[in-house]
Amino acid sequence: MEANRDKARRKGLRMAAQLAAIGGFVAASAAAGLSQADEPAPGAAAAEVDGRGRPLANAEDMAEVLKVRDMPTLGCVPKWGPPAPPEMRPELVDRLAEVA
Amino acid sequence: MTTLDLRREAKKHPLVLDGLDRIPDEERAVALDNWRDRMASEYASARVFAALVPQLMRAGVSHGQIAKVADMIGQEMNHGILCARVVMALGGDPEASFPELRDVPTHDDVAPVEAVLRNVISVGCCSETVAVALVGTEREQAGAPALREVLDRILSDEAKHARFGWRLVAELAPTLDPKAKERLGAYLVAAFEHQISFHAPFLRWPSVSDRAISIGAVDGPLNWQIFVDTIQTVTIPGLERYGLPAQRAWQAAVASVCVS
Repeated sequence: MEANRDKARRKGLRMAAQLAAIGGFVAASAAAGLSQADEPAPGAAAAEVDGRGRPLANAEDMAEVLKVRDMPTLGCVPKWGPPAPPEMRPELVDRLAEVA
Repeated sequence: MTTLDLRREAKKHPLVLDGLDRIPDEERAVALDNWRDRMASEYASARVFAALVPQLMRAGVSHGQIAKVADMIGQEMNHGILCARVVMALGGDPEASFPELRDVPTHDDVAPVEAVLRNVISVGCCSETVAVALVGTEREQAGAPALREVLDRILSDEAKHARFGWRLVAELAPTLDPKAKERLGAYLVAAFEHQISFHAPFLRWPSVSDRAISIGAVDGPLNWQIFVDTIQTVTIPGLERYGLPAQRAWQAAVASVCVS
C-alpha cells in the first residue's frame, strides 16, 4: 500500500517539477529530493523555530508543531482552488532581513 | 452564504463509475464530501483568474498571455462541473455553499509588473504547482477509468496554469531591480505563510484506505507530505533561479507559523 502511494507521490512531484523547470534544473533537484525521502530537500535549510534549536524544515516536523496550533482556515478547501493570494504586510521586509 | 447549484449541468452528461458497489458506504461518503467541497472551490477560483486579467493588462503583458488567463476562468468553472458529475455518480446532489470569496489584492503599493508578479507567483508557482503534484498523485491512484478521465482533464488545465506562472516569472523577474526583488522576497513570506495555512487542514484529516483514495477521498498525511515536498523541491529552487530569496522567505514563513 505504502509503495503504491510513494510511487504515485513521486510521479505527481515529478510532473510539478517539469513545469517549473526550464532547462531541467528544478526537475533534477526534485528528483534528487525524492530519492532520499527522509532527507531534507536539496537547498532546503532547516529553520530554527521553537527557541530550542529544533529544525522544522521537513513535513513531519512541521506537522507536529502545526497540529497543536489552531491554524486559521482560508475559507477554501485545501488542495483545490487556487485561493486569492494574500496581501503584502510591510513588516515582512524586516522579517526577511532577519533570516539573512 | 451563497449556494452553488450545478445539478442541471451535471445531469446533462451523467458519469458512471464502475466498481462503486465494492466501496463501503462510509468510504463513499468521505469521497462524496470531498468532491462536493472541491466542486465549490474549483468553481470559485474562476474569480481569481478573472481578477488577474486587468492586472496583466496594467503590467503590459502580451495579448497571448492575457488570453490564456481569460481561458483559465472557464477552465476552473468546467472543473466545478466535472466535480459535480462525480458528486452525482457517487449518489449525492451537486449543491454546496461557496467558500468565502476573498478579493484578489491589487498591490497598489508597487509598480504594476511587481504587483502582478506577487499574485502570479502565489497562484501559478505555489497553488497550481502544488495542485499538479496533488492531482497527479491522485490520478495515479484513481480506480475507475471515468474518474481517471476527469482527473486527466483537471490535471491538464492545472498544468497550464502552473506553466503560465513559471513562464511569466521567467519573463518578468529578470526586469526587476535588486530592491524590487528583495521586496518580492518579502512578499514570498506572506505567500508561503498563506500556503501553509491553506494546506494545514490536511493535518486534521486522517489517513484513508487505498479503496477510498481510488474514488477521490483525501489522505491527509499523504497530501501534507506532497505539499511540503513540492514547495521545498520545486517552488523554492524554481524562484531562487530568478534571484528571488525564496529559501529565506520559506524559513521566515515556517518560523512564523510554527512558533508555539
